[in-house]
Amino acid sequence: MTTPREQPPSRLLSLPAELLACIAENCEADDLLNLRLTCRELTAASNDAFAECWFSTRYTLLADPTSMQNLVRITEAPHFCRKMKHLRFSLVVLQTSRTDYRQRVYENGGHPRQTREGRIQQRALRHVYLELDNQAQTYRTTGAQKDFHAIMKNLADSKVGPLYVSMVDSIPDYETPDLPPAHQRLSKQLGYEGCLTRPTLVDNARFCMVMKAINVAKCPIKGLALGATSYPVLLAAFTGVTFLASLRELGLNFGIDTYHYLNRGPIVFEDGDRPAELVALMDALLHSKQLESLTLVQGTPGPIHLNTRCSSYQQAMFNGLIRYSELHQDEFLPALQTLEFNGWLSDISLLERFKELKAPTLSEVIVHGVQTVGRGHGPLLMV
Amino acid sequence: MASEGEQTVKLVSSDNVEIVTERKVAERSMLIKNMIEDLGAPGEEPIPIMNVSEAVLRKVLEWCTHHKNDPAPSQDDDADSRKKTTDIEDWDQKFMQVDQEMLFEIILAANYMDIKALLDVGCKTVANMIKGKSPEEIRKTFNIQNDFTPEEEDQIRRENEWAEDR
Repeated sequence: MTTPREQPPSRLLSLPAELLACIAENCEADDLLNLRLTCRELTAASNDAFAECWFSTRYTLLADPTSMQNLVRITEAPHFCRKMKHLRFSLVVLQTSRTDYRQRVYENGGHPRQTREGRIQQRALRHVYLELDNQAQTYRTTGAQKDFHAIMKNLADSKVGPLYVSMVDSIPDYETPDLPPAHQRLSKQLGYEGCLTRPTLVDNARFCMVMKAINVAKCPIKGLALGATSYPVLLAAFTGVTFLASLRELGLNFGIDTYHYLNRGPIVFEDGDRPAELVALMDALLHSKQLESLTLVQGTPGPIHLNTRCSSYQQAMFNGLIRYSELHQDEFLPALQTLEFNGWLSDISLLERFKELKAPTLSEVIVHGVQTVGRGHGPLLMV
Repeated sequence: MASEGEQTVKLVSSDNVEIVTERKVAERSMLIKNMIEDLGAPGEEPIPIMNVSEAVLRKVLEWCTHHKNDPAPSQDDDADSRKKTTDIEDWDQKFMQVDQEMLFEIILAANYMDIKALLDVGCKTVANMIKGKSPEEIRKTFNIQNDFTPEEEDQIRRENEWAEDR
């Protein structure tokens, strides 16, 4: 006896998987969320479109445990990992100053002392704020590194194609409806539409954490953009980063900040002096056999009395590049096509030498902002 | 001898009906175009369109007739596979106002006959039917059974939450 065959439950589901995937590709981002909740077959058919749409460029708050752990979970699924192309890590963190918090409350129209209800409400919000702040502080010292390692390991294990990684230090526009949802979540938890987050500079530990995790996991990186890496010494983190062999684009902001000055003094590098971080950078570049584009930004010259140091620092860097290219010839940056410097250059003769830098495939040398860089944070580098 | 534009070709549907059409119209289908090139004598040999019934083939040819003068798709169009716009031009929208049975037959035929632009219109039409609907409404529209276990559904909801928190 034969069992009667069930009719296909749906004409849509009778289409072959590749056509269902084609329909999913034409769906809007929000519709994909609903489509994949209808049945198993449509979940499977829309997985690629879903991952492409929601995960190919991923914005994550580096200081927020929920945001980071979400990325850990996403990268645990190899079929999601494989669609990832660009990881953007926001350096914006919760406001840490309590005085600022009180000021924000007033700025946002809150008058906590006006009524009893108001006071209760403000106390409750303050409690949430302190809890979140505490959570962020604890996470920064304990969990962030573990999670970042897990993310990079998952990505490396999934055989993801080379990624772009960028550190984003711009403040999101809190007036737009396009505020990243992760920021919206934090604001809602705090009971405010207004912003209670602010950007901070990338600290040494955070930068090293990122580089170390990428290195340990041997995660292939195609492009790297690091906004406002304030301490030049951080470049030392490149030492031993031999995986940079896969890197095709590199953008670095190595603005010199007051902190660096106060700790090391306004040292002037004589010709021949080689600060450790520059040696580290040059060694890293020596490993970057596929690097096609290198952008160096000296974004924050700082107070006028620091200019001598800025100038001597970038001269040391230029000299380093020229020296390495002469020493290693075709071995140094063999695939480099574009070299861009955006900063604060005062020595025109050095600029001429820089322009004549030899690399086997170098076709374009661009120098911006000679002696004209203003104050403030350097531009965010995006590749 | 007739010029290429005036030539006709004979197509035979899966239910064995012969349809004569302009070569230019038929060649919107890459399958037919390649077959004509292989056969070398257009109009003489009938071309079997095995998987497409007469009704669907006539509908597909109606689309091809309207679009016979469209520029050929470029390589770049193929590369940009993920087009977020679900805009469909007015004529195509009216053309696609058919029952679901015919809609999916057109999609299958466009896929089989290798008519990318028609396949695109078909997929966009279905995407528009999905647009703004809840999972339950999508199930109702397409007669789909919810076959998830509660655990599977929870997992997908969690994945959606991770996706939205960006």
